[in-house]
Order: sequence, then structure tokens, then C-alpha cells
Amino acid sequence: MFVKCVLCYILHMAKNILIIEDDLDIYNLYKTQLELSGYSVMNVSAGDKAIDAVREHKPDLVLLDLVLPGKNGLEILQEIKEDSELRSQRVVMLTNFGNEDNISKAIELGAEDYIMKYNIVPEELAAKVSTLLGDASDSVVKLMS
Amino acid sequence: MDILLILPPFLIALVSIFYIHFTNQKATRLKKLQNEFTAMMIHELRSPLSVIRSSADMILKEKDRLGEEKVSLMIKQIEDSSSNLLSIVNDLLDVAKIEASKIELFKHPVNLNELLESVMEGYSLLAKEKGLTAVVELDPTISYVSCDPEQLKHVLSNLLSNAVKYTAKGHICLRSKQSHGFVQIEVCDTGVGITPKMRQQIFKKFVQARELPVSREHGTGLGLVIAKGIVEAHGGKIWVEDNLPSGSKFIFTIPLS
Repeated sequence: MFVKCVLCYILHMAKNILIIEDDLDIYNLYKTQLELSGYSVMNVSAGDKAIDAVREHKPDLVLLDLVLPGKNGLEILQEIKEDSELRSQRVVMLTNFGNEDNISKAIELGAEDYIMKYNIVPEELAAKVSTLLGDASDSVVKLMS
Repeated sequence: MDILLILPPFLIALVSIFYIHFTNQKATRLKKLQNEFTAMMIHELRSPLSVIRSSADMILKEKDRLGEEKVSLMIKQIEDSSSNLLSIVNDLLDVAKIEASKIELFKHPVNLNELLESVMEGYSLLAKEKGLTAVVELDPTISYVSCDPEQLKHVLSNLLSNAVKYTAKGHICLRSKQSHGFVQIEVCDTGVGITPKMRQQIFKKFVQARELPVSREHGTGLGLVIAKGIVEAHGGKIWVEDNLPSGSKFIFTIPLS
């Protein structure tokens, strides 16, 4: 088990995930699972502090909630994609608020995926993140176990 | 002459067109609000469900790697989220009962000041934890009032929890007095206050609805709808005023007899 964790960490050592989420219960669950998979995880809970956090941490992936205090997820996504410095930032929407309009708008603005929280468990989220970031760790870990 | 003959049907047609136009506009607006409200409620229900499902899944699959402390924390999250979910479902059922005028009251003589003090006790602690002062000023001449104590506690809890939630500094207060055959109960705070425009809307079901809710903190917005329903079922009234110099003051009345 220890070897598995160390291996995950080494494989993902350089990968930082920023979770923009104001529900700390769900954030802690995702953080725990992603850390078990070897990622380094950060959080910002206020919508109006999200852009500064992205600029400061330059994460490999942003998991962005839609319903946030201060500024909503779509506004944050739009700002990221309109900022010449942040434009290439990879963003996945991770929310419980999904209607066709929001989903199409997010994808149109440049989100790589739109994941409904109630539809996914942390283990599946970690697998999705791993696939998105092109990490081969899962298969290696499976071979190790 | 011709104009006089044509004018009345022309005016009737014109008024009819405007009437249909405005009725349709109103119906469209109501439909939009209903859709936004439904979307918001689905979001509010899915949030605790996500925590329950994710926590349970992690405990089942990662128990050994998580350790005892994290597992306990996740079990606590399941418990809290289940309570949250239950309270949302209960709110929705209460609103449905209020809308169908089927709210049941089990009225009997209740020592009102004792009831007010007991409800305030919990919120005083919450206020103090937030660095707020809790003020209680109860009219000692009020004794027994015929009411449904559980429903009245529900009203007070809704108002006091809002007062604590939306007040960053200063105080929250609970006052009671007698006025023209009614008991008047005030819950005030020194919080963000309510704009005059919002004061007209705040007790309506769809007021919190919008395309995207601003934050989890705002909740379902059903608390005041329920409070109004319960107060009116008791034969009282509820309204909101400015709590000068800052904050808001919710006032409701209950008949003394």
C-alpha cells in the first residue's frame, strides 16, 4: 500500500489541481481522494478570489464549481479564457447545477468537461483527472497491486 | 360618424390586445421563475446527496488508507448532510401544505416568554461564536398565549438563523410586547439589511430564484415563505422593517386570545 501511494505521488508529483469550491465538505472529499492518487490539491472558496488563485498557482487543472459566492463559475471561466496570460488554463466544470444552457455555455467558453457532482464519486473523479492530464499512473499502479 | 362607429370596437380590440400581451408576459415570467426555482431546488437537493454518496463510497473503498480520524469525519459529514437533506424536504412539504392551505396547527395555551427564551438560547450561542451580542427584551406581562408551540419555534428559528447568518458584526435581538390584542414579536439584527424593493418580495416563494444562485449560504429561501404561512394560520401578520441605523427587523403578531 505504501509503495502504491509513493508511486502515485512520484508519478503526479508535478501535477497541481485547484478546486474552486465553496462547499468544504465536498472539497475535502475530493482533496482526500486526489491526494491518495498523488496529486497536490489547493482550494479557493470565494468566486471573486478565483482568478488571483489561478494566476498565483498556475495549476495543471482547475475544477470549477458553478454556484459560488461573489462570482459564479461561468463568469470565472470567461475571465480565464479572455485573459491572454491564463487562456491556456485547463478547466473542468464540477457542479450540481446543470441545465443545457449552462453546459453549452461552459463548453463554448472552453471548459474541457462538465461533470455533475452527484453523478460521480471521488474515485471516478480521480480517474477522469488522470485521463485528462494524460497520466499513466493508474495502469502502473494496477500493475503494482 | 364613421369614426364614431369604428372607434369603440377599435378601442376594445386595442385593449384586448394589450390585455392578452400583458397576461402572456406575466405567465411567461411566472413560468421562468418556476423553472429557475425548480433548478435551484434540484441543486440544493443534489449538494447534500453528493456528499452522502461520495463519503459512503470513499469509506467503502478506501477505509484502510483513510485512517480512523478521516473515516469518522466522513461519517459525520454523512450525518450532517442527511439532516440538511431532511430539512430541505421538510421545507418543501411545509410549503406544499401552506399553498394547499392544509397546514395543521395543534394550538394550546403556551407560556410564550419561556418558549421565546428557549429558542433564543441556541441562537445566542451561535451569535456569540460569531462575535455578536444577543439581546433579549421580553414583556413580562405576557403569560399564556394559544398557539402551536412547534410551529412557532419553526418561525422563530427561521428568523433567528437568518439574523445570525446575515450579520457580520453588532447584535441580534428578540423582543416581545403586547399591542391591540396581539403579541408582537420582533427579531432584529445589525446585518446587511433588506432593500425596499426586496421587502415587497421576500415572503414570496420564488424570490430567491435566479438563473444561477449566488452561493450555498443563501439556501432555498423557503424559510420566510413558511414563516408567513404559519403566522397567518395563527391569525397574525408578518412584515419586515429597517432596523435603524442598520440591519433589518422582522415583526410578527399572534392573537393574544
